[in-house]
Amino acid sequence: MELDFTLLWQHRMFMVKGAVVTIQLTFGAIILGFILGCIAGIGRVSRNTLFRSISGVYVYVLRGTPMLLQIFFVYFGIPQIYMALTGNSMTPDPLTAGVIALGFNSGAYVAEIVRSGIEGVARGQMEAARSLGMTHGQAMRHIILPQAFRRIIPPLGNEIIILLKDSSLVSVIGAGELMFSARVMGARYYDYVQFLAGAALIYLFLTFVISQLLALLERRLKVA
Amino acid sequence: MSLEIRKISKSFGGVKALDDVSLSVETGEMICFLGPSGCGKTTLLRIIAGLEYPDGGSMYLDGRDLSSLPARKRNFGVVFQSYSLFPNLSAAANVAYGLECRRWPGEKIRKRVEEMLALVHLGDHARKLPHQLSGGQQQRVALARALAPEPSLLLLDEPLSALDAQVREELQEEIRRVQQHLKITTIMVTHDQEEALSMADRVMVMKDGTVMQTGPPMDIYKRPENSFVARFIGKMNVLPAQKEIPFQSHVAAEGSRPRIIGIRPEDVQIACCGREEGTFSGVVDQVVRLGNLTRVSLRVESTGGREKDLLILSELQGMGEGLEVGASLPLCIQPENVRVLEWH
Ligand SMILES: Nc1ncnc2c1ncn2[C@@H]1O[C@H](COP(=O)(O)OP(=O)(O)OP(=O)(O)O)[C@@H](O)[C@H]1O
Ligand SMILES: [Mg+2]
Repeated sequence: MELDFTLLWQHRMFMVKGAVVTIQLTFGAIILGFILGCIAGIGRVSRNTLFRSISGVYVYVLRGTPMLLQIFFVYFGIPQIYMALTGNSMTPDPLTAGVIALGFNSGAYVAEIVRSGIEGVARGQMEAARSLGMTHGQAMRHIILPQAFRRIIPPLGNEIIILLKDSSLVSVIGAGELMFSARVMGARYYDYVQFLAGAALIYLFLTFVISQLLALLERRLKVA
Repeated sequence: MSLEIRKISKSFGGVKALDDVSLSVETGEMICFLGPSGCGKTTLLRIIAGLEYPDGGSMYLDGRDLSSLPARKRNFGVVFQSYSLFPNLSAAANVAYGLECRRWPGEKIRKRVEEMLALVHLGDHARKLPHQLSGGQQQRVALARALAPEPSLLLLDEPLSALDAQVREELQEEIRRVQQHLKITTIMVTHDQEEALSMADRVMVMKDGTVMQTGPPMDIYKRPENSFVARFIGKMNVLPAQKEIPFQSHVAAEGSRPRIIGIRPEDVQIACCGREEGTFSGVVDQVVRLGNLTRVSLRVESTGGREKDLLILSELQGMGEGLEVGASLPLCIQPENVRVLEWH
């Protein structure tokens, strides 16, 4: 058999559309995940017991169950619960369900990144701030979080790349992202190799771009 | 402002870090906490700062109870051992920070920051970030930051221990100068006895969470009250009390006999006293010449019975010419130079 990429080239726009959905999923999820992760990460080190335990349970559950299960739960489970509660039916959009599932999942990992970022800031910093007259919350906002932020950029970049790859799991609920496109085309022509190779190239290109952008951001932060 | 500490105790798990510590610090006074590592100096300072809570005891600032006042409301300036400047803020912004917390007006803050940085000779470094400053400069900024909000008390936890000897000496003088200039009541923790003796108005010597002795540096040196202080501050011969060594009894508890006595090496003279009492004969065991100072250890033979030979250290000015190992020499100890350290 000869390697032939004419079919891939012919359907390139279809693949690009899939890549766009992958990007939408990844960025939607990282934004949601970042917000949830910051809240839960601060919660993990909060002095408020309720806030701390809710954050702890969130992180534990989302990190302790498979992502596929979480995707299915959002796509199939939540409509069922909604039906049982309200009597109305609901058909979620696979892309939205994907963003929510990925976002909640990544939020748990971001929470751990944020927590270790905060804990990595020397204890003396909080004490110095408190001795100078700041409340715990003010010291957190003005002194601790800005320092923690710099430390979380590298692991956060890593999280974005993981998320980009994990977004392929959303293909199982029919979101038309890159992996889904490759699978559909592969099945249509019964020629998986060129479409999988094409998808792989696009994933590699995207991870390359993301890591370059992050490296740039890290350099900027170091100078500032 | 004066500070009164009464019977403070603190345990961590099973470890007693502080046991019934009491102290009063007068207005404008500088006190040093001195003691070996782990004796509770930092813990006591943190309790005073409000960063740690005592298990028992109380504290009063000018008669006002401090126990329910959180750290941020105490208005104490604190300088920590490791550099605790805010790395994301410039030197000036670090100094301004406490003033912003107290909502000083902008113009007043600017003036005060300038004044404080000038006080620690860092006027030209206002814009620099902490990592662009040397260790000594960082601690100066930390001092300026602590002093800017006009604190009622200045607390320093080994502020110089991370610096090399020369910078350290400079900053010792600097801190003392600023402290006396502002007449601010100050507590400084150190485990360096020279630092404590040279800087403090009074020194509090601690061991295992308890106070061993509190007093002016000269008192601590001249009149140690127990063998721990005697050994910890300077050099001292700590010997079992024997009838041959005369001493002036002082503060003797009723009916007790001295058990351990102490004599500074410079008070052991190699000469005859001119009378029988207080004169011994010792054999030179070792001679160490340190330029203008000579250290001689001498073995004094026991007079029999159960007593062992004593090894006594003597310090002489000068080169100690003619001193040779094995020579037998007369020693003289004046009774008034003998301290009783422990009683039966
Ligand atoms: N947060 C803590 N948790 C548990 N034990 C502690 C804590 N802080 C201090 N300790 C213990 O309390 C004792 C006194 O400690 P502290 O830090 O006050 O000593 P220090 O005199 O300042 O010593 P150093 O000269 O080494 O700084 C030590 O035995 C120490 O291990
Ligand atoms: Mg300490």
